[in-house]
Amino acid sequence: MDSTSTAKTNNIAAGLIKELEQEAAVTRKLLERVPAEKFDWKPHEKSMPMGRLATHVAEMHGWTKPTVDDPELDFAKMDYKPFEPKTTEELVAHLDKNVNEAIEALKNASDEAWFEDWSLRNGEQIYFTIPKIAVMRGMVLNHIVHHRGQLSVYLRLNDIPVPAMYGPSADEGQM
Amino acid sequence: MAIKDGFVKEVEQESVATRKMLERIPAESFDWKPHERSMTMKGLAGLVADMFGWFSFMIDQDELDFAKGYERPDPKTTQDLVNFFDKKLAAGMESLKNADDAVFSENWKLRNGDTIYWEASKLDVVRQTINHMVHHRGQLSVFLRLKDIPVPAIYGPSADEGQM
Repeated sequence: MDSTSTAKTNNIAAGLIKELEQEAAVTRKLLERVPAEKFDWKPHEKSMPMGRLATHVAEMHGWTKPTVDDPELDFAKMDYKPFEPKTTEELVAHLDKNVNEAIEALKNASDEAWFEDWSLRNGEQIYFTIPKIAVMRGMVLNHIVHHRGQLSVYLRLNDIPVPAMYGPSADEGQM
Repeated sequence: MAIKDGFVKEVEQESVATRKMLERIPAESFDWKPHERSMTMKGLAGLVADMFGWFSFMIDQDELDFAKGYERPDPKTTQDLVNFFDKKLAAGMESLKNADDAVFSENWKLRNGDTIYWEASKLDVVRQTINHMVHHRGQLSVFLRLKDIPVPAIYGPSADEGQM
């Protein structure tokens, strides 16, 4: 990194890192409770299976780096192979790896870079172009929380205790 | 850019999918729950509808004290639920739009009389409330699916809508 150039602030990244660490601690607790023998279970024929949903929550953290480093993500150029954990440990390790990579990527993001445009496209077709901060906030962080919320229902339906998240659950953290 | 500007934009965006989901919940399903330890559909949807209204007491006041009572939503119809959401959202937005940067450094407490549950800066409290809403709305999307109510596209396509 170049420390001799004009000092750039990274207050936005500092806030995002703090939040990501907090949320990831809770996410990890959920993933640790997803048993491998339930990876194929789903609550409805149109639902994602539990293993896929949990892996999706883990892999989404990996979207941070392309959001920070690149101006776009082009599905046409991607060779996406979903990670398929065989065990709960592999699932949790996948989360840890992606969270660490996300935090490293965030450390390099200056405040001004967050207001650059970022596009999601499939070759010629552009799905949307929005500032990087909106991508990180909505498509990465809130999107993770959304699917993690779904996963918490999957746990409940399988009688797996739901950890306290933003407040107590019916199983843990009663006030 | 003021701190509130980012929040206002994000809350506006997130409200679109939230409202769409609430509009689809039939009153006949209000008492349904997927598990004995789950919230009912009405309880969960009412909470989701209520949460953006929390910005009012989080920004304009310095605490919420459960010991002083808190009125929970009790909609009778889908329209009641949506109207309640619209009213809460409008009130929360009003407070957000009037918040200057200094307000977000102030301290806020959630308490029940002498017991303090949570104490944080108003910045963290507002931030966590958005995440908290997204969390429960995610749960609500599973409730919809289980009742064969089409799940709207939220951050991307669902199995029912918005396929790319």
